[in-house]
Amino acid sequence: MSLLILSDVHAGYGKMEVLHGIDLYADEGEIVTLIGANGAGKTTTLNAICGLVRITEGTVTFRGREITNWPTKDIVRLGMTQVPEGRKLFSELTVRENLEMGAYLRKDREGVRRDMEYVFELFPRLRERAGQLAGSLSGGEQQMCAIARALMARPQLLLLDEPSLGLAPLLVEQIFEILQRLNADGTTLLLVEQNARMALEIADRAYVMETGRIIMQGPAKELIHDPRVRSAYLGEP
Amino acid sequence: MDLSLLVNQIINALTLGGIYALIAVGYTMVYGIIKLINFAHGEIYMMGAFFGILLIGAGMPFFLALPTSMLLCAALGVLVDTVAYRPLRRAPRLAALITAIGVSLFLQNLAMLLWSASERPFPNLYPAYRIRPAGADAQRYGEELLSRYAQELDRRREGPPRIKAIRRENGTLLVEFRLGTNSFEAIRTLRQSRRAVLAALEAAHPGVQIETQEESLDHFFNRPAFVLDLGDVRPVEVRWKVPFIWATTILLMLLLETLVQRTKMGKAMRACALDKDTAALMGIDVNRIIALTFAIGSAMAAAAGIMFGLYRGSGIGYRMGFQPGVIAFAAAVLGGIGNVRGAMLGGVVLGVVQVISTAYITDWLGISSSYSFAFAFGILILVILLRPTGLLGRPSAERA
Repeated sequence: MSLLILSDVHAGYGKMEVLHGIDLYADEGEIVTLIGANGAGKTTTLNAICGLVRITEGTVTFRGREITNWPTKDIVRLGMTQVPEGRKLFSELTVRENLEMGAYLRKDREGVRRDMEYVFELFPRLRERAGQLAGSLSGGEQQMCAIARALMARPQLLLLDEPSLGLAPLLVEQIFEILQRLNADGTTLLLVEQNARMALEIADRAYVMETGRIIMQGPAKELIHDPRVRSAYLGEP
Repeated sequence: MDLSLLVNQIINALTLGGIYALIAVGYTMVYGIIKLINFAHGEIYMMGAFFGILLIGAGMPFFLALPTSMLLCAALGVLVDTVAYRPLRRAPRLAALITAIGVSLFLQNLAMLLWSASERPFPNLYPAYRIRPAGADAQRYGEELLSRYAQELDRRREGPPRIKAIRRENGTLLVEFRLGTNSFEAIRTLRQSRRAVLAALEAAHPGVQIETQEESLDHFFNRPAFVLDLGDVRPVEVRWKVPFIWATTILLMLLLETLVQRTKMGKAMRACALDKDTAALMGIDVNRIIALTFAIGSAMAAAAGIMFGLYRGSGIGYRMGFQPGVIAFAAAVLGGIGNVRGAMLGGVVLGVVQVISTAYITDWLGISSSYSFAFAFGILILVILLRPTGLLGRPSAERA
């Protein structure tokens, strides 16, 4: 059974429905990417999975349990976490405190200490900045901090919302390398990206979203060569 | 200028400022986390004072009544949050603000219904009297008088008012009433006993010339802790309760500071204050953290209420929360709302401004001392004009 299954998920804000029946799954160990233009409903999909947006119809199943509209904290406890769009660091907490918050639910002090060491190895810049307020970091450092914070929860499934947004190309490469490394270490990734090329290059499978619906899906290697994807999302004629 | 008066006023100002600071941290913490100006916070302070005097009145020692009242108010704060504010968490902020005013009025009226509209004094923490024989035959019949007095009181032991202990102490009789006895009841009991004793003594020894003196004893809080010798002018006597209030205030502030800065719970509180959705993504139970914030702020307000009562000795009534509530709110804004250290500083600043303007400035200007509030708020307006984020508030450090 797949790790995460969305089945006919409708969700929105107030009376406005944004998702009109999303079907999607992610198997353990996969990198699945969700691409699409601005306003297609990618962020809403992630937030609906996490319980931050109310689902009006359909179900979300994670690790074999239906988690539709569960309180976010309980979903996180099951082993899923999100790197939200725009990093959403706790700007007036230090980098170290942000990482501690990532491990909020964990009781194994020793394991937390080891994981802190692990993320400092992944992102050496964060070690240098551990005592600084997160709000004082540069954009790239903030993105690293946001990913590191999510890793501190030791999630089985990591949702990433536009991790490349606003970053210099070199930094984007670096972040994507780290994502692949995380995946190799056993973390399942659901990656929302506008940078479709990068996302399709590292993903196993991909979904293309448009105005609240999945309009295409398939192995990433195939979609990357699909003429419609090439013209709409990869900027090729 | 009268130096003794000045020193006294400074002591007064710092004490009052500390009390304001204790209330202000509750305002600022709640505002920080849910952006609500909790107008009912002054009423929690009032309830704290009432819980305190009622517990002492029921015979609970002061040092137990203080933490118990803090716990009760913490529970009350959580109850108010759960019942009144939590259902409105996603509603427009104005709805919650109006609810807060409603809760404030509700608690005031509840207190009035439960405990009447009249103000109450702070209970005498050591209701005890020393009885001495006096008069021409005091030498000869004094011992007998005191024995008879002790017997007479012993008969009244079961009260009301309940007598805790009767002791002979070098030529005097020490009578301790149970905690919570007010002096009116105690004196009436003593007067009745005295009348009976003197009548019996007169019957046994006709024409005896004897009287008694009853001296009320003080709790150590009301006894001088130290005397400041200022040279030529009147020395200033500082009672034990003043250093006690200072020490307790500082201790509570240090505890709070440690909690907010060092503990996991405190960090979660700060995280929730910055971004609740993201805090939830960390697995933080946001509603629980908000409830804890109410609990802590309310406990601090309860401590402030009891210390105000202890300091003043009177003035505990259902309306006592309004004025300190408004001042403490101003203190929170002055220090930078949402900032705990700012609230502490703001409280002390406003306490000093209020006392000094009551004692000196209004007098010098020839206006009523009630204008002292105008000075406190004047300072607030001035600071907000010059530094809109308050004394210690700083603009958000967020960067894209």
